[in-house]
Amino acid sequence: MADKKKDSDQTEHAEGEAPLHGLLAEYDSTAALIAASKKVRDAGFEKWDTYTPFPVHGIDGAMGIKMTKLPWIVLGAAITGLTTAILMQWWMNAVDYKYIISGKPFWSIPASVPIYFELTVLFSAFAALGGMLALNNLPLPSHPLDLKERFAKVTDDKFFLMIQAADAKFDERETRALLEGTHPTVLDVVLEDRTSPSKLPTGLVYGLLIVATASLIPFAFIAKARFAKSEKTRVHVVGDMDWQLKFQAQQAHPFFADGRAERPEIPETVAVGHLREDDHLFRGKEQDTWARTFPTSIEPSADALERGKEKFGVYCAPCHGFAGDGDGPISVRAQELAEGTWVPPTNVHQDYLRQMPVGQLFDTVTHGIRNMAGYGQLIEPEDRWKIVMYLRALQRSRQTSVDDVPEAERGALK
Amino acid sequence: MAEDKKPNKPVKKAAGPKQGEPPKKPPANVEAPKDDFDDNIRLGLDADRVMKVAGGVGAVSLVACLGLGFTGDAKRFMFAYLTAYIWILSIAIGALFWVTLQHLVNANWSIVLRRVAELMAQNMPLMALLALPILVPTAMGNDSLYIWVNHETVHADHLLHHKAPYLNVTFFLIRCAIYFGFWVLLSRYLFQTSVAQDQSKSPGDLAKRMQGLSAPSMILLALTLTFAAFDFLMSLEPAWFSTIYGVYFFAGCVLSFNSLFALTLMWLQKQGRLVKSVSVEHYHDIGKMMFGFTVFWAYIGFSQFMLIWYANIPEETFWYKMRFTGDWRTVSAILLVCHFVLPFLGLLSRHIKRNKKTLGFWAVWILVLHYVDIYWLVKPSLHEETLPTGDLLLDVTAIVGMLGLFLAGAAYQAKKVRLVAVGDPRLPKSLAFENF
Amino acid sequence: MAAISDVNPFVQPPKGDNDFARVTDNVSRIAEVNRPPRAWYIAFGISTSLLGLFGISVAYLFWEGIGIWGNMNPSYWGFPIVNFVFWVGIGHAGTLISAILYLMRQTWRTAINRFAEAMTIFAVICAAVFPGLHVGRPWLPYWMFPIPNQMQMWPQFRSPLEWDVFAVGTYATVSLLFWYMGMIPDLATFRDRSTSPLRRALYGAFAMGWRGSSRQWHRYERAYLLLAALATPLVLSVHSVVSFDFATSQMPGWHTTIFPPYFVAGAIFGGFAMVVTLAVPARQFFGLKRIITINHLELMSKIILATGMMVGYAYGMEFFIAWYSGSAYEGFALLNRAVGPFAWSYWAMIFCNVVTPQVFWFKSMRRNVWVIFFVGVLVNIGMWFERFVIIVTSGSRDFLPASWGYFIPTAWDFATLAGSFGLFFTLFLLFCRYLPMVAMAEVKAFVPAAHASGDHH
Repeated sequence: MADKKKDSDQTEHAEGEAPLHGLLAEYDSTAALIAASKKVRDAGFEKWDTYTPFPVHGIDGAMGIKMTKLPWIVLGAAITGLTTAILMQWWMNAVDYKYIISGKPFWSIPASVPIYFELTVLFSAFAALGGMLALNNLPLPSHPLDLKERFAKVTDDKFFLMIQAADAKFDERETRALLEGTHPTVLDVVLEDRTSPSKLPTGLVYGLLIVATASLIPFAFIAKARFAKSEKTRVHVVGDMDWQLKFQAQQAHPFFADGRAERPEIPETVAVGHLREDDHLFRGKEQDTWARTFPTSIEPSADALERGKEKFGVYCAPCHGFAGDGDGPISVRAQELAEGTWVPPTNVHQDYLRQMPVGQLFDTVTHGIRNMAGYGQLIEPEDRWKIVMYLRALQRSRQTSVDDVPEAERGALK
Repeated sequence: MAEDKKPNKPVKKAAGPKQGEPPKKPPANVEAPKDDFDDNIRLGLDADRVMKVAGGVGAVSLVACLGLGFTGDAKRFMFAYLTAYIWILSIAIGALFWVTLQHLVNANWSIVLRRVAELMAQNMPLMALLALPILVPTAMGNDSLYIWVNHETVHADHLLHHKAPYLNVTFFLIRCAIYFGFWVLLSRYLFQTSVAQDQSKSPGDLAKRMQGLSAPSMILLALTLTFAAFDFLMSLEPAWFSTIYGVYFFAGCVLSFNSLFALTLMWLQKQGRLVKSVSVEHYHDIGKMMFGFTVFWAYIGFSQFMLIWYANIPEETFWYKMRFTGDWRTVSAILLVCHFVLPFLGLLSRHIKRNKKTLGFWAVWILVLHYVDIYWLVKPSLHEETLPTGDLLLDVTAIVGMLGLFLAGAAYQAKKVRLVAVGDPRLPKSLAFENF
Repeated sequence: MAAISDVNPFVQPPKGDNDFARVTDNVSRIAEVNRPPRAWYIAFGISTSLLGLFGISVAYLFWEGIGIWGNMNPSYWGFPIVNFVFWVGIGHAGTLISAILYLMRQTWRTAINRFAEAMTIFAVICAAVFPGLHVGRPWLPYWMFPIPNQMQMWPQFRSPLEWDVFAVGTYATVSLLFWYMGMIPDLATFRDRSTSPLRRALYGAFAMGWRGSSRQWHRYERAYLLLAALATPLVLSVHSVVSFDFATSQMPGWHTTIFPPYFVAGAIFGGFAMVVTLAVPARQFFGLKRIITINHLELMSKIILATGMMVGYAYGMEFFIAWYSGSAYEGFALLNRAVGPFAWSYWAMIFCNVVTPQVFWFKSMRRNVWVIFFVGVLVNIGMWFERFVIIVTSGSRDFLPASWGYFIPTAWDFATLAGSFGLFFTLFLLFCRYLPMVAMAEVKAFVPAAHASGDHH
């Protein structure tokens, strides 16, 4: 075949002229192009193509173009993208760098779905464009057709068909006759491109190499900084964030005689609202012994008990239970876990607690005892007293007889 | 189906008639004749056959279901009935939506299919009738389905008390009257105008009139559909709420309608109807709708789940917790895999959408899974933790009954009219339609 | 023009009265003339001035810190996030037109898809700037990417904000690929028409040796279809993920399940409004009236109306469920929008987004370019206010009344917002000047002459 081609070249063209690349036919309309394509297809040519300014409807069939493999490439990329997303999130958040966030598991499937999706699409999109370019052999800087001035119209309004001389069935006379039979507006020969340089200019190659090398320099610096040790402190980009105009605890202060920025309380002074003279109300004591009565400002009343119940429910019940039996949910849970370090909360219905002065109970609420923390910082003194009052009511509730119920309401008990 | 072996469609055209597909469609530029249309487009005696068989089986089955309901546990019956009813109603709403949408966007490709969808949408009066076993007990104050019907429950529950201005029997019945009234009117109007178009001298004007009406109708359809979903389904769990619920229900409507639509067309073609008019291109488009709405359903379902799961507010999460405990956990997993993953992968390829057998398989699959979806929405309210497998007979008789009556209803309407909107000026485009 | 509008829309989709050469000439001339129209210079002057303002704002921000903005306890997400969501929303219409309308075979999109895509990319650039600025330390945003770093830490993938990085990043990349790929044949046209060697080399390099081979067109079309099919769910995902930023929280007014589709509908709505806002002047000044016809504008008006109704549906559902849920916080949040201290912004939003598009029920309004332009501008304003309403009203009225406050933007907030418009329009005007503004190859495929053969149907 190669010989035959050479023969035809020699017979048809003068010595020294570029060899024949193919025959080019030009058409005015899509209809003419499609009709011509069908003829060329049926004649059994393989190395031929049509060139159009837009995708012509029906040309694929007329030329017998097979369905591209591109969808499979994209599918492969989609699977790769999905796998990457799964592995990346699993490795980074569930293995290498675990970090509890909003109560979600380390490897949380619902929370990683958005990124599964995004990376699947991202990889597929690159594959769609990249695959199209690769299958189409693009970019292609030069082509013999570029030498034909009229071929520039291919991106405007003209339609072309070219059969390559390299095709096994190509014979210049017969092929020309075949193309003439399709009534092209112009029929022309295309010669191989011998004028365009086959290599890039040396200057450009070196230029590109230098730019490529130079672009690695910042990365080299980053790599160096990643491993090298330095005596210098880090760069402070925003100084006024790192060195704020204020004094912090334990810093020196030039203004005060003792040189401290942190000021102590001034002797003989009390801050507003911090006097707390009343021993009974604030400390539960009367003449240095535990008070056995409630302070005068805490009147027993249904409201006070209601308030005490509410606060007891908030602060005490989680451990001591709502009835004070020492069976609050925290305790129950701790015993379920059976980890062995749990000191069970006290049952408030024990005798010694019934005998205990209210002042001492108040003090326990305030400062805590054994494992129990003090709640003085969290609960106002009045509310602490009301809790104690409610506690007394709870204790009393286990020691009552029917006589305690007013006569008029005894009927309701039946 | 190896890709390289399969020549793409223009080759087929050049090579002659498509393999294993109906014979060639009439050429594009030939005006379709109005009265002697070149295809079999009358259901004729087959309509009677469908009415007898489907209608008979359906009626017997539904009576059996009602009988079981009267003799057995009322609550169980009500929940089984509601599940099947919502399933069939969603298909009817899907049909009505589809027809309205085609008018709204002035679609060309679907004209040849429109009449069949119109016939399916004609079942709206039947839907209103089938709703009676739900509406009548509710109207009579029976709270086996909706606990907000019971005054005492409402009184005791702060939240229900708050919602009482909306969730009360009178307003519920008024709303149902509005929904069904609107659906019946819209479906009748679009159907009758379309039939009138068959004989009309100015079919273009009628098409324009239908298009003009479809825009406001679409708004009302969106609202009625949403609130119907709230009323029939979301209020089963009256404490729970989700703004996206209507959209979720809508996704199921369109998905299930397109599946039944594809199956109906396949059956019609098997009976020798529409053989020349409906081509593989139309199936391809229906397949795309099925695929698209499979994804859309998953998108909406996932959005709802994700937001509730992530924010983790007890007043919302309990609804999912019910569905993630006990047997319902399995059902949830089945929905994820079989309602989304498998049909997504299965319908991805164009070859599957262009093959009647494979498309038919997925259509049946989706209809079944759509039922599972409704089942998952409805039944956990009554049956916590365990699947009510004992109610299988109730479920099956209810489904068969309603589907049978649905098909019979469509056939009854089909008897009187052509199966193709032959008068529509866009018909030639629809016949010549091709995918890219 | 009259001849076009007389075409029966049932038989013929709207298209200009073009042939191939005329399409090439009309579009290419815009980029080839030595002097663009005076309007271009005026617009470019204004845009670059605003871009300068943007530069100054950002420089001062970097110098001084984000204290120059009005974001302050309790409204930490002031203008920067409003602007971010606004611009991302604008960026949706382009890919929607390119991808979804393509899959739905809406051939009329060919007239507008190219510059809608360009608009998308520039809008996404504007959007991406804001979170970068908002983090306050602009040299650290690389922490958001999974890059091995000296802290030996990885990003936290369970955070919606991290999903945003991936969603917006993917969207920007895929939109760019889609835009570029669509432009390859048109760049080849520019290459073949160019007279100066520089233009020839530049357009030629980007056209990558495209010569219109049918075997290449075949793969090209398949790739375009695949990209469209990928971009369609991507468009939905991007604004859904942006909505997750809000809706996964427990903040009243933010945590509602309809947010994902509602944000998407709003984005399409705002995006189309921006397309008409740009298309009306573009066809006026660049002589594209034959290609972007009044029919195109009418169809876009209809889409604006339809998506406006969807947004209205979501507003309604939010209100209904806020009441129906019985949640006091949710009810308050919604009521606070309508009658609270920011009620003015809420009603501005309702007016612009729900009321103004209603004029498009009338055909005469849909065919009046200046009405379309005006509604487009109003919808853009309304969509900006929508984000403002969501972000600022909920942010300034959270669960704890003690931390309630009022948000007051500063001059720098406005300067940055105005500046971002400068960035957007500068890029857009450069695009109009130097790149094919209309997808010539696609338009040609749908002009009547392309189907003259008849036998391939």
